[in-house]
Amino acid sequence: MTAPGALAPPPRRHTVAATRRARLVVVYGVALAGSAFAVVPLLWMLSTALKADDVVFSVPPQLVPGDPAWSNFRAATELIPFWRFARNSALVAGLGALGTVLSASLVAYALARLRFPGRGAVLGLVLATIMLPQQVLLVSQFLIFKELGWYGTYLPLIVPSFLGGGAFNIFLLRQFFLTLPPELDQAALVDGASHLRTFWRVILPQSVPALMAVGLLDFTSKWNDFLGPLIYLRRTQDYTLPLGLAGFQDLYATSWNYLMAGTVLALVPCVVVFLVGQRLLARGFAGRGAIA
Amino acid sequence: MADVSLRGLSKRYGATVAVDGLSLEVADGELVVLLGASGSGKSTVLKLVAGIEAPDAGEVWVGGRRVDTLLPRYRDVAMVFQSYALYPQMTVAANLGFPLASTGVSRADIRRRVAEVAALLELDGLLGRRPAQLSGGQQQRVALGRAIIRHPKLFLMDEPLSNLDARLRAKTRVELRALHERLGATTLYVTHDQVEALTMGQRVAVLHHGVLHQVGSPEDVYDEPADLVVAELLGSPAMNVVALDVAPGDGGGLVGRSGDLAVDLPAWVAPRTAVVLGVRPEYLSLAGGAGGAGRAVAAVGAVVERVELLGSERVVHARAGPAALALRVPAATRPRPGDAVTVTVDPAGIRLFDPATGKALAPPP
Repeated sequence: MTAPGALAPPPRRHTVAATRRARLVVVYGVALAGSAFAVVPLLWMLSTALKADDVVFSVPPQLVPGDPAWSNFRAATELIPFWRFARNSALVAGLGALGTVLSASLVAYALARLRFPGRGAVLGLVLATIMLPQQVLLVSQFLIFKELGWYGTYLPLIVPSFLGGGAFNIFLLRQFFLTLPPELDQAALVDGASHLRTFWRVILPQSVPALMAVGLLDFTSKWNDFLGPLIYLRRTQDYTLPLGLAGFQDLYATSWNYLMAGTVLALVPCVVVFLVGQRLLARGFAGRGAIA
Repeated sequence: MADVSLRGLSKRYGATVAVDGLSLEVADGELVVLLGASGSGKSTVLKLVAGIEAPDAGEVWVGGRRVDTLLPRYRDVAMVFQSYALYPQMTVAANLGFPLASTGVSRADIRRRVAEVAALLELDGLLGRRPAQLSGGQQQRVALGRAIIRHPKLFLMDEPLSNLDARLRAKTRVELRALHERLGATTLYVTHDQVEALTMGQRVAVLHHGVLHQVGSPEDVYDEPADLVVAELLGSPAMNVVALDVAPGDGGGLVGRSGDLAVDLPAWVAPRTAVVLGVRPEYLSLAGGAGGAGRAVAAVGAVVERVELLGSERVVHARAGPAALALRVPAATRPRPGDAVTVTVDPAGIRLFDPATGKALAPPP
């Protein structure tokens, strides 16, 4: 069994392979348990989407309905102007995410790399606003937009993204920029580039993973935003998907199955965007390579 | 190309003084080496000249123009960083062309000049690669090319060879020197390596704790160091330094002593009672061994502690009383630790320093 003169093999439970296996079991166990929290609601949503009206609240609850009503999906898109709402959502979330990425990175670059009097104070002020929840600012913001005459338009939903894009995103990108070697900036400046050119040609291409992360997070949150569109949009045809889907909830009754079906459909673009973005994220990490 | 004048430059970071009143003149086309240990302020000087940092006091003049108030891009200065600082997302060609693209040169011109520089530095086949796909030596050449392509008035080099392995370093030193001669470019070259300083510099400026200690030709700073700091920075192994007590000797002259070591000193040393003796290893030899000095003025018994083989030579570390001495002998001589030897001193190599200030002593005019 063992070669003459070799060490005796260790007891079975102490080998490297056994340790690795044990570790994998624990890791996968924890991962599965954790992801269950996220996946089970989704599965239940899908399950509800496939039920007929009378089956939705049956007891005991059925996970896989006996007669899946695939027609619910078509119904969901026909009972409300689903595709119109989807287009509106795409506009708001897409433009918003773009604005956030552009403006947050500009602000973050200034706070990370440029030196100017009062920088500490500005940074402190920006970070302090992270503490403020949306609800606190609601009334003041509404009054401002009403004064500007923007009530009833998409402007209150999109324009703020182009004005810094939120303190959290600024903070995230600033921390990322701080990890880039200052020699790169310095080299570009000595090579004759302006700060803007350095930002655009040297820093941004280096930052694709962080920019992707910010963009994806922002797109997802804007796609799912209910409160903002609820407050500022007046006409039904302007509604975004979350608002539009709420149409399945009447004063007296809710068509849960259609609602769930519509929600499942509304999830799809988000998932697609996320998957595409993830691939770019991974490529961004790979492309950074060696700095020196 | 242009001459450079640094006038009274000072820079501090918080409580630390990085550069203290540094003034230096560099002639057009000259390569001056700024030599100093880490923390001596030499990289800070480069950053002040490039415009990456602003001085607290002092002026920088390049080509007869005052530039310390200008942004880096208006100073017409190019810099090669220790870490090369190549743009990782761009190809070699894009890296080389970036300075030109930043100043609005036409695309056709950029392509032509990139090709020229690539040919000069033997980067032809690599133009399509990214920095991560290059070896250290290739990256360094790209960094050089990016600086050269602009034909700037001044080159700044921050320890460009320190990230290369020893063999490549020696080879690149020679190439850099040849490149400098070919381009005739005014260059400020920063390093902590005294070999680079001696081989590359037309003049060497020795920096210590932000203060300039001596500026001169490599021979000058090596043979006639202005103080102990300079003396100990140059030469490998370092200059032997021994503290001597001065007393009148028999026969009327002055003698400096440390333990068994007795050295005749010139009369002008009086009325000092203590001096510091400095003598480089090459002026010491083993009595009776090969390469014995001609007229030794001192001989002292010593015990060998360590011997290091350098290939063609050996470095012998010996102890004579309180004094530790290092000397070089041909490799054929094989002293062993514990051997009792006699070390002789060639007077031509003796340098005297003030024990309080560390400055070199010279006979009064």
